[in-house]
Amino acid sequence: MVKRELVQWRYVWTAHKPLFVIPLLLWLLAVIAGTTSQQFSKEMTALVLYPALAFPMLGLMSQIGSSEQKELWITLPAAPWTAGALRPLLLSLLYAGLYAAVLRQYFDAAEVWAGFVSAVLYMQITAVLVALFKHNAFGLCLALCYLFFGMFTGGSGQGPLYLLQWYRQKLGTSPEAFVTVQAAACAAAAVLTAQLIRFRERFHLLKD
Amino acid sequence: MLVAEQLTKAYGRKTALHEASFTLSNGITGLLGPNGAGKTTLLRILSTYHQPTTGKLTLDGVQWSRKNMEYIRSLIGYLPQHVGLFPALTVREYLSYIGSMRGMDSRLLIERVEKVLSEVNLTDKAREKVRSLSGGMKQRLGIAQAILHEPSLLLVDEPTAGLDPEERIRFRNLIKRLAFNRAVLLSTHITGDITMTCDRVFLMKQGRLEAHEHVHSVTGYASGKVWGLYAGREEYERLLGNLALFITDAAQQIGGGYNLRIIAQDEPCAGAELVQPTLEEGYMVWLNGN
Repeated sequence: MVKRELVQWRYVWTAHKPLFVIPLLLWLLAVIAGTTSQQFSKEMTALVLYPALAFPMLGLMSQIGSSEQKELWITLPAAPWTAGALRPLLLSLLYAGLYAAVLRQYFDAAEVWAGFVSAVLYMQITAVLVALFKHNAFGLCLALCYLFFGMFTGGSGQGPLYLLQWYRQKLGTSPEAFVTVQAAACAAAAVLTAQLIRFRERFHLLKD
Repeated sequence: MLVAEQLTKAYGRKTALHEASFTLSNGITGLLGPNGAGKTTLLRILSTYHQPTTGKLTLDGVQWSRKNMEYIRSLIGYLPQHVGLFPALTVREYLSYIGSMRGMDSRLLIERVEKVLSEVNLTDKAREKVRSLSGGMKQRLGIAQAILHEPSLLLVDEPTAGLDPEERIRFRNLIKRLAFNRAVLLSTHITGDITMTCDRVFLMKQGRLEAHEHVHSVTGYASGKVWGLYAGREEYERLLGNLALFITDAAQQIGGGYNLRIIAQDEPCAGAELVQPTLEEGYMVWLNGN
């Protein structure tokens, strides 16, 4: 089981390497930039690296979201909980962990913790959208729109699912105000993605 | 063996497949029909990509249901029209990846990969990147992933479209070999593929399926309606202008004239003789409502 999982990860990585590497390069850039300009590095971390965290999730979910590959992938037998919940969650934790490591340079512990949870949620939202629409570009655009809408409006209409609370708090709230709700939303998103994988022969919402 | 009963697929108000009932046993069954006839819809239902709106399916005695869908998927091999190989992987890596996605045991997978590579004649390309393969090789790799787990049902959607003549013949022979111990459904609009490979034919038109036990029963539609004649250039042009006739072949001869094959209810001109119809001609007559 573990060996098979490792084989899967190896091939997913090889097949979609650029999508996994881009955030890592940006992460490295943010770290290097921090040695010369802390302000630039901080903004880059929040405004460039953060949105780019959707890419690895796109790499992981790309078989169901790729117009070329989904027809075959949907017809392959799959373990819905592994493919829809476990793998996306592991990937989110890994990249959000790396992200939190760079946040530690510029933010306090509460903000870092909130940023970590928000990053996981953002990646989980991407997974749900790609699995729902079975379309990478559509899933990515919707996830980015959600993130940027919150970014430009201060989370207007997004309630506790505002993804930049750790960076730009809503008036009168603390950075970690929505952590519990967002953690619960991560779990809900994982369950939802698993169900979308389980019933993958349904919900062809976009025309093939 | 696959048994389909009253399969229907509707997209909103449009019905793409009307109550199709058929049985697929070992051997190759051709699925022939014009674009938009519902061939791909049928294949997508049988491959579990789409759910039928109504109808019942049984594969090797197991009735399809939500609960056993993953098991059913493990019995089916599918080569879609656009297989979407991973260009960055090598041929061997690609097959190993698909095998691991199918949950195959790693030791068995290594053996099967080598075996199918040999079956599809790609052993010498095993270390090459998928992106470096020709169109025909990619199709053979597509078939390799579909038979990796030794499925009892193999579904192939327009595999020869875009292949050069040599690759097409190679592919037909491959499909023939694979059908010895499994049911194969081959969707195509190239009648030559059917003639050369299939034991049975399903004809499809506007979402309706008509099963024929023999290819000959399709050629029979054109029996007594196909005429052969030699015509000079002027005669040929005159016949071309006659919309009641359907010229299926015009082979230019050294002398400048043409050997013609014409579908017509009555003798198209003096000197024409009834000839044995081909599958293509039978199909054309069927398509145009006799």
